[in-house]
Amino acid sequence: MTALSHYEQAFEKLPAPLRESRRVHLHAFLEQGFPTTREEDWRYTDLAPLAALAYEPAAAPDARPAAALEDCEALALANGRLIRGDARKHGANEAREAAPGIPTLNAAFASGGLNLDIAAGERPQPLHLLNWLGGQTQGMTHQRHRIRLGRGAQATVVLHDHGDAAAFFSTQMLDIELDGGAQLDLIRIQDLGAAASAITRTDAALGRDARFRCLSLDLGGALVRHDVNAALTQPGASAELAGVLAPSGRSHLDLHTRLDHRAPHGTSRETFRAILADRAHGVFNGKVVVHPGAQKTDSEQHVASLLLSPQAEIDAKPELEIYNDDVKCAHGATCGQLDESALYYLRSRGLTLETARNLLLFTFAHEVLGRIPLASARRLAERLLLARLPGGKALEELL
Amino acid sequence: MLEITNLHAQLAPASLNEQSSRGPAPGGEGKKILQGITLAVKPGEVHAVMGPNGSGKSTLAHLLAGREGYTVTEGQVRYDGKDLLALSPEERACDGVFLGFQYPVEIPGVSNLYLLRTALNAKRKRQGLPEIDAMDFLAWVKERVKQMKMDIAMLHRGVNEGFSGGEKKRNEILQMLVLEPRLMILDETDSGLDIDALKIVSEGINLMRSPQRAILLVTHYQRLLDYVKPDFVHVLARGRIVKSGGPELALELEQKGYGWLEAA
Amino acid sequence: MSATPKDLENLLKRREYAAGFSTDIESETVPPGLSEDVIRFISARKGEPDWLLEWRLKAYRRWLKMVEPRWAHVHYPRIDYQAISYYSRPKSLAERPKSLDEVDPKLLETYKKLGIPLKEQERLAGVAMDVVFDSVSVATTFKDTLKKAGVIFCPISEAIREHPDLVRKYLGTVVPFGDNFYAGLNSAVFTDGSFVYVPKGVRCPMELSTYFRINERNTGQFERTLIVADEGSYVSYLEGCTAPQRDENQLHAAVVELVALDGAQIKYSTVQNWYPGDEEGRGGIYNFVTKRGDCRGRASKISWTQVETGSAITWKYPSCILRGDDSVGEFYSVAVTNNRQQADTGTKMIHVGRNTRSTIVSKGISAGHGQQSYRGLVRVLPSAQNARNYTQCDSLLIGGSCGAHTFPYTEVRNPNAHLEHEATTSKIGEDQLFYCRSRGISEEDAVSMIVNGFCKQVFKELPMEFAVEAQKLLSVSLEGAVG
Repeated sequence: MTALSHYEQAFEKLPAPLRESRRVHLHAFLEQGFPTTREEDWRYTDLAPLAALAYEPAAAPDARPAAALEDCEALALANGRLIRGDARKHGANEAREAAPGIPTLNAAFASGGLNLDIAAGERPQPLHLLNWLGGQTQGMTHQRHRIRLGRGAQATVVLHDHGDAAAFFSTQMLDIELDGGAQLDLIRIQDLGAAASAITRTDAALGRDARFRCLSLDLGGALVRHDVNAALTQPGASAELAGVLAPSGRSHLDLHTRLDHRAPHGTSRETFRAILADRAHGVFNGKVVVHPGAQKTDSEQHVASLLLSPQAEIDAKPELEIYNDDVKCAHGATCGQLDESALYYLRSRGLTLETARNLLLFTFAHEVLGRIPLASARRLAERLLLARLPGGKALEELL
Repeated sequence: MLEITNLHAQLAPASLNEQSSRGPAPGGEGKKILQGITLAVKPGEVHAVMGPNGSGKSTLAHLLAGREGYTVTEGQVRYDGKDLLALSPEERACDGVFLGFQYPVEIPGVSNLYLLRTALNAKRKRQGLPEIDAMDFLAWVKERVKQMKMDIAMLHRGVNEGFSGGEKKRNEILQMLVLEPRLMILDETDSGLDIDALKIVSEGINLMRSPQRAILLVTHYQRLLDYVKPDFVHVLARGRIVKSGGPELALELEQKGYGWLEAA
Repeated sequence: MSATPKDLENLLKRREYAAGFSTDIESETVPPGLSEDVIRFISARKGEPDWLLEWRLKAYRRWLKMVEPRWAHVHYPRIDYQAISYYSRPKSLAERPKSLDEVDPKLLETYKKLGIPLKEQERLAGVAMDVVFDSVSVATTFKDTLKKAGVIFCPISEAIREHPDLVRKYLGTVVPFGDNFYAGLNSAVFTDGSFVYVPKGVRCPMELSTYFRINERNTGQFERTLIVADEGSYVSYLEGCTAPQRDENQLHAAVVELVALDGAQIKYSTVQNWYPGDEEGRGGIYNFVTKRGDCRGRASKISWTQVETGSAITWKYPSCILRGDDSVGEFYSVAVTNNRQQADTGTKMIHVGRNTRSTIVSKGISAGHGQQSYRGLVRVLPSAQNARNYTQCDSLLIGGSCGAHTFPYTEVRNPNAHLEHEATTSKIGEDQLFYCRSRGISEEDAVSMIVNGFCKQVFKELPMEFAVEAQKLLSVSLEGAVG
C-alpha cells in the first residue's frame, strides 16, 4: 500500500487542470491497485515486484532513438516528449474512461503519445514511431496513443519501442478506431532494454468491412505484458493478429489477445510463435469470443512454442467462448522441438549444428515475420531477431 | 412418373442474421433461378439435362430432392401423380427418388455400411416391410461394392471420409445400387472422373436402367452420354429449357458450345 | 417442406427423462444442516474407527475456512449448505442385508425400472455391481467370484471395518481434504461409495460397476470411491448415476481416488445421467465432483472415459498425476448440454515422471440453451523428460442459443516436451443432415447418426455394454425419443 500512496504523491505534482479531470482515474486505480495473480487474466504474471517499487515520472532524458525507416514518416519520442517529427501527430490524449487496473493508472498519468487521424479515403505514407523509453532508473512514463482511420482510409504504423538499460516502467494504451472499410497495418516492434517493465494495451474497434492487421515482435524487457483486443463490431470486419515472442535471459513476456466477434461474417486469424531461451518465461493467452448474433464467424488461431532451455517455461491458453451455433472456429497449440530430421539434413549439407539450429529457429519465426507487409519494417524485425540468436550474425545473408 | 410443369423458383429470402450454410450461397436472395421449366419423364426413359454453368441445372436437381433455400413461386412437380414438393427429403427418398450429389458430403465417424443399412431400412419401413436381415444385407451390399470395383474395407470407413473425388462419386452410385430408387437424378456425376472411373460409374448407372425406372442426368459435358445413352436431351439456359431433342443434340452442343442457344 | 433450425430445436425440446420416477420408501434421514455433531452422527452410524472421525472433523474445520469456487463458467444461486440433509438411508437397510433376498423388494423394483435387474445380475455372468441408494450401499453382487480372485469390491463403509489398513493407507492420498471446497465437504460427510483393491498381478475377472441413485428429497449425495490397483494388476470399473425428477436442485459432491502402482492399469468409465432439470432449468442435480488418478508406479496407466448427459450443472475434471516414469493418462469424454444445462468439465494431466504420455479427447455437444465449457490443464514439470500430450477437443453446436467454450491451459517447463492441442467448434452440418435425409433417413435419425459419429472416438473406449447404453442415452438426451 505504501507504493500506492507514492502514486498519489506523484499525482499531486501534475498541473492543476490535469489533476482535476484525471482524479477519478487515480482514485479508481488506488482503490484496486495492481492486479494480482489471483485474477485469471494475470494468473501467470506477477506484478508484485513492480508494485513494490516507487517509480517517479521520468525527466527529459538524453535519448538516442534509433534511425528511422527510409520509406516512412518519422516521429521520435523520448519518454513521451516529442523530439522529432510533426507536432500535430503528438498529443496527451485524455482518456474519457478507462478499464479497471493498469488502464486507470495510465489514464491518471498519461503524457504524450501518438495522435493520428486519417481522413476518409486517405492513404498517407507509413509512419514510424520511434518510441524511446529509459534514461532513469525507477523512472516511469505512461502514454496514450490514438489512431483513427476514416471510412476507407489505409495506413501503416510501425510502433517501435526501444530504450536503454535503465530499470524503467512504462505503460502504453493504444486506442484504435477503424471506420467502415478502413485498413490498418500495425507493426509493433518491442526491443526494450533488459531491465524495462512495460505494460501495453491495444484496443481496436472495427467498423463494417474494416481490416485490422497487427504484427508484433517482442524481444526485450524484464517484465512485459501486452494485451491486444480487437472488437469486430460491424459485419464483415476482419482481424489478423500475428506475432513472435522471443524473450531471453530472465525475461518474462506475457501476450494476451482477445477478439470479440459481435457482428455477422467476421473473420479472424491469429498466428503466434514463441521461442524461449535461458530462463525466459513466456505466456500466451488468446481468447476468441463469438457473441450472440455474430453468425458466420470464421476464426482460427495457432500458437507454436519452442523451449530452448531446461529453465525456460511457456504457458499457453488458446480460449474459445462461443454463444452462437453458426460459426467455424478452430485453434491449435503445439509445443515441441526443432525438427531433428531437418537439423540432420542441414548438417549433412555441411552446416554446423549451431547454424542449422539458428536457421531453423529463424525459419520458425519467419513464418510470422515474413507477413510484415512493409519491407523495411520486415527487415528491421528480422535483423533484431537475428541479433538475439547466438550465431545470428552468420545468418544475416539470409536477409 | 415425373411431371414438371412451368416451374419457377428463386432463392429463399434470408436475413443476414438467419443465413445458414444450407442451400445456395448467400448474397442472392430473391434471385430467380428457374423460370418456367416443363419436363415429363416416363418410366424407362433417360433424360439428359445439359447447360452452361449457372443455367439452373443443379438447382433443379436439388429442388427435386428437397433441399431448402429455394422458394417455388409458380408451377408444380408431380411424382407418380403426387405433389413431390410437399414431401420432405426423406419421404422423397423412401418413395424412390435418389439424388447423386455433385459434391458428396463427408460424415466423420458414421460408417458407409451403417448409413446404407439405416437408409435401406427407412425405405422398407415406409413400404411396410420388416428390417432386412443383417447377413442378407451384407451379401447384398458386398456384391454391389464389387460391381463398383471398390474395396470392401470402404464399408467400414466413415461416409466419404477422406475419399478422393472419384471414390466419392463411385460411392454415390454404390448407394444408388443398394437403395434401388426408381427416379435417379445424377448431378454432374461425371465431373472430376478419369476415363476408367467414368466407365465404372457409367456401368453402374446402366445396371439400374429398366422399364420401371427413370434417370435424369444433369451434366455439363457430352462425355458421360457416350456411355449412358439418353433418350432425350434438354438444354437449360437462364432457367428455361431452350431446346430439346434426341442424343444428337448433345453432339451438336459438344461441337458448337452453348453460345448459339443462349443467344436465342 | 423440410425442417428449419426451429423444427430442430423443437425436436430437441421433446426430451424426457426416463429415470425421473422416485421410489416411495421409508427412509431414515438426518435433519438438514451440517455441524460437527452431524459428522459425529454419520461416523457413529457407520461404526467408524476414531482415526476416520478425526480425519472427517479435520476436513470439516478446513472446509469452514474454504471458499466456494466461482471460476467455473457456470451460473447458479448460492447453495445453502445448511439446508441439505447429509445422511439418508432406506429404513429397510438399517441392518445391511446379507444377500439380495433380504433387500427391500421396492428397492429391487427401482433398479429394475432403471434397467439394472440386481437379481438377474447375480445369475448372469458379466458385471459385478455395487449399488448406492442415497447414502448407503444396497447390494454388491458377485462377491464370491471376486473373492476367489483376491479382488476386494465392497462398499467403502464395509472396507473401513474389514480392511482398515488398506483404506487408511490410501484414503485422501490422491485427493487430500484440503484440495478444493467440494472435496473438503465430501471428506467431512461422505456416507458411502465403493472400494476396490486388486492385488498384485491380478487381472480382475469381470467389469466392476457401481450404480448411484439419489432418491430422497433435500439430500445430498457424497459418495467416496477408492480404487487401488496393486503392481501389475488390471481393473475396469463402471459408474452409472440417476436421480428422480424434482423441482429443487440437489447436490452431488463425490470424490473418486484411483491409485495405480507399478505396471497397473485402471480403466474408469462413467455414464452420468443425473436428473438434468426440466426445459426451463427447474430442478436437477448439481454434480460437483473431484476425480483424480495417481499413476504412482512406473509404466502404470489410468484411463478415464465419461459420457455426461445428465445434471443441471456439472463441474468435474477427472485428472491424472503421471508420477511414475513411462506412465500413461487418458481422458475420453462426451458431454451433452441441452435445455438449460451447464457443464464445465475437462481434465488435468500433470506430467511428473519421465516419458509420460497423455491423451485427451473431448467431444462436447451443446443444444437448446445449454452452456458447455471444456477446461483442461496439461502441465509438464521440469522432471518430465520427453513428456508427450495430444489433446483434441471438438464442440458441436445445435441451435443458436447454446454456447460452447474452450479453456485449455498448457504449462510447459521442460524443453523436451511435445504437446499438440487441436480444437474445433462448428454447428451440426446442414449439408450432412440433408445428405442423410436425401437417402431416406429421418431428420431425427440423421441428427443422432451424425452426433454418434462425432462421438465415436470416445464410445469406442467404453466397455461394450456401456457403449450401447451411452449411444442410447445420447439419443434420448438429444432427440426426445422416450428411452
